[in-house]
Amino acid sequence: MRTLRRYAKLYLAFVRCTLARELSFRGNFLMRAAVEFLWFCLLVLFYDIIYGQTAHVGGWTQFQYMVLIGTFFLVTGLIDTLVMPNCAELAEQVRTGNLDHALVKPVDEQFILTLPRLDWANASNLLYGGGMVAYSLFRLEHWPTAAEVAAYCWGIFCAFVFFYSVLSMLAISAVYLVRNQSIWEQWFYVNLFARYPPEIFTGTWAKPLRTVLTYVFPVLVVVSVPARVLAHRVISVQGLLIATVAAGAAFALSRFVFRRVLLAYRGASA
Amino acid sequence: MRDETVIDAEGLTRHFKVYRKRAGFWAAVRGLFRREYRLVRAVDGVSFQVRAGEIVGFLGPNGAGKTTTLKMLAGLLYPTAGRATVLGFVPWERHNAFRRQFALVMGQRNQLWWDLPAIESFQLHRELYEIPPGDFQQRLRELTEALQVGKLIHQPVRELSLGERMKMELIGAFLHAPRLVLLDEPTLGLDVVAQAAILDCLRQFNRRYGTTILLTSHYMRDVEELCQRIIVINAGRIVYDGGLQGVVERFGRHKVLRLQFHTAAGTPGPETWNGSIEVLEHRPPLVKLRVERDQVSRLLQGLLAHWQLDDISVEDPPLEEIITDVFTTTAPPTESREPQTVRPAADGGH
Amino acid sequence: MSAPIAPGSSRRRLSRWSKYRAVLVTAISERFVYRTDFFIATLLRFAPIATTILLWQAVFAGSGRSELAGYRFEDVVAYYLFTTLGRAFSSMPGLAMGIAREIREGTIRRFLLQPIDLLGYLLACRVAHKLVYYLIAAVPFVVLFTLCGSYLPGWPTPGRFACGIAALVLAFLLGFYLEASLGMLAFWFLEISGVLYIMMGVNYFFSGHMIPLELLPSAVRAVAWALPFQYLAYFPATVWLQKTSMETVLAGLLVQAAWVAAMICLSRILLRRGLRRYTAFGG
Repeated sequence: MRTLRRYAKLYLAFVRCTLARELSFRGNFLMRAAVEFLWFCLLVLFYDIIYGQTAHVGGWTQFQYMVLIGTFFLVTGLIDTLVMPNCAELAEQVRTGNLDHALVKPVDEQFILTLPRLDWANASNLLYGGGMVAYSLFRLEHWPTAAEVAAYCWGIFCAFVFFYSVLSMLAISAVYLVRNQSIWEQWFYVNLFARYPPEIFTGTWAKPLRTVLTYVFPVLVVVSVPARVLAHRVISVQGLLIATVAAGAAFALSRFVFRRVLLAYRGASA
Repeated sequence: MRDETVIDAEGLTRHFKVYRKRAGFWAAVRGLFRREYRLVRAVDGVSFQVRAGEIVGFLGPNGAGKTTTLKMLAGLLYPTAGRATVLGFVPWERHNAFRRQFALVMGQRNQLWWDLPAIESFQLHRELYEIPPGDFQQRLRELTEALQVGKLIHQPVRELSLGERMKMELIGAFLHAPRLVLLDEPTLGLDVVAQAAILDCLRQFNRRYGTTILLTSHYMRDVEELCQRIIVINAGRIVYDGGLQGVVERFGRHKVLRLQFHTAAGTPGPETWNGSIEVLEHRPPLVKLRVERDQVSRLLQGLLAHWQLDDISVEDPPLEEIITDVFTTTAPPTESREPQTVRPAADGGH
Repeated sequence: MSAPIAPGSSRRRLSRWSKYRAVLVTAISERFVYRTDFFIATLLRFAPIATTILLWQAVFAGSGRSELAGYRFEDVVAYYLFTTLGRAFSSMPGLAMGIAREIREGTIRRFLLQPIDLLGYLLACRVAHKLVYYLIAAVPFVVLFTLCGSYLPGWPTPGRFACGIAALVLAFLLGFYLEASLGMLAFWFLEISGVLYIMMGVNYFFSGHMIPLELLPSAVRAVAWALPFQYLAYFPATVWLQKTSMETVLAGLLVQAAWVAAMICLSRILLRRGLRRYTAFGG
């Protein structure tokens, strides 16, 4: 408990610092928020064109689908704000061989390498995503119950932990693998499938892909399960269970991988 | 307290495997499939102790193994062989209690938030090291006063000069009252004034807080100013460990003779000096000579018998020069075997 | 070599060529250094194709129609495959950013001192990057096009094939000079990353990479036709799709070439003005 309080305090101190820095570059902040908004609009426009041709995609009507897109923006917005700046920095630190300063600090190394920096400009995506979900629910005339809201929030939390764990593993693996692919690119491929409803994965090759992306690397679950709660008013216990287990397992694995990679980085012989 | 051992290293060794990159296109293509490595013995059996409150200079040319040794002591690297205790801990086990008690400063590597005033970074330090607010304020006041940077801590770090930034780094390093501070090339790239200021601060902090300081440098000046004791490392091995004066006694094979003759006419000509004597300056009536140590007394006897001298002084050559000698004579065998044509003063048959 | 007709001139040209060749070779070897996931990265680049196929499959299934805006399902898939091919030629990751960095940090000054032309140098680098990329991407591309063979139209006639190649090469040049011009804006504006990101979005949309341009609302479509971006992905794709007549293709190639010429002029003017401004302000 004391540890938890200490890390909360420490995290708040970092939040303060990043906020102070962001405020000193206000122009840049607005610009980037605008860019994010442009991409959001493009995506909305794309689905508007699509739904001009069809009434539903994989059983999702336009506003149900927009709940999915909004949820996707919420989850990726959280990651982009809280995790990505750290992973990008970590990859850079690995490249320049400068993890040293972080490693001499008396705190958990995974914490200080993957969490302290925030990128506030990406937080605007939370606004767009949240707004999209709210507007779609209004159009769908769905007024969620407390249970649905709780299930939704838990789903988002699991999705966040899952993606956080995957990304921190990818970032630290740069110690072993020199990549010409940026961590941003890797993140794009990690979340690529999460923005689509699982129902569209039909056909000879997509069926097994769906199984893999549901049970082995459940990107198809973590976003669609909470989205389904609000869009279809279905609380899938199995889905939430998979998401919870996935988040827990991925987090535990990331702790393990982090520790092993840093040991190797410091030249510990097996 | 004074004779407590802070660092105890024995036979520390660190080898690296280095990827050998070949030049050229086809070599690069081949490197795609098969890589060649070569073994570098960065540190090769280093043993020494440091007691509490000491300032020790770690001296050596680039690539001698200074930084690698420092990294092992900071727990950043595992040794290939050997053992070490720092502040009673095995550094590479990286206990939180250990990490709380020391600081690492690496010259030219910035730990402070670049776009923010240094005070913000210091407050982060307070949280990181859980410094009680009262202690934090007091210590910050002391440090800023000592370094005379009171106002600068409220200015964005990027607007500070290199020297000022280094001072901020030092404040950050001493804020949590570490018992040991490891500094890697703290004066690298600084101008002479800033260098002197940094060294002065280190001395002050060492006196005031009794902090043990181990610093690496390849500048002689740093060490000459600051350290009672130096450890000279070359090619991964310690070649000297002791007081400053000891270096001179052990490695200084020459003395500098400054002779003030009575008149210009009564000054021996340059051709008089033969054998191993080197004329550094010939401005009658003043002559400066570089003489091998064991020949000084014989030479002086002869001079006093034949010439009228007003003043004689026998000095040691600058430390810088002595150290350079040490490095050139203890270099790896392949290099020291090469004929030394540029420096006749160096003793080739050693 | 034999007769001293124009002594020096041919040798000078030769040495200039060898200079660019040196640049090319260095760039290629640099690319090879990042070996570990070069192959994986190239393969992953096709993952979005899979999701696109699945999405459109669902769209066609949902609509219950066999043709949308003149595209059958197979055509849509083929269209996206060909735009991916087009983008492989026309996208210039890091080019504008790199130029902006050189300007900001003042390293661009070396091009004032060294007898090497900035745009020529960058083009040589880029050609090298692309060549290596195609060398390695060729395998996954062939695999992908074979796997998706059922969606693709038959083999084109030699004439159309040549036009397709020309459209891709022109797309490469257009992309290069467009991106280079954008980078040169850094001579005038301190921070251009915002502009670049916005252009990325505009490019993604108007090049037809997002959706076949025929599906856009008519007002937006009119804007898309007037802009050069369609020649980066949409136009080369339509050439390979073989749904348009040879006359349309040739006319399109002419307009594309005109856009390339315009962009070359623009980038040259921007470079000259920018450098003049740079020296006037002392960097």
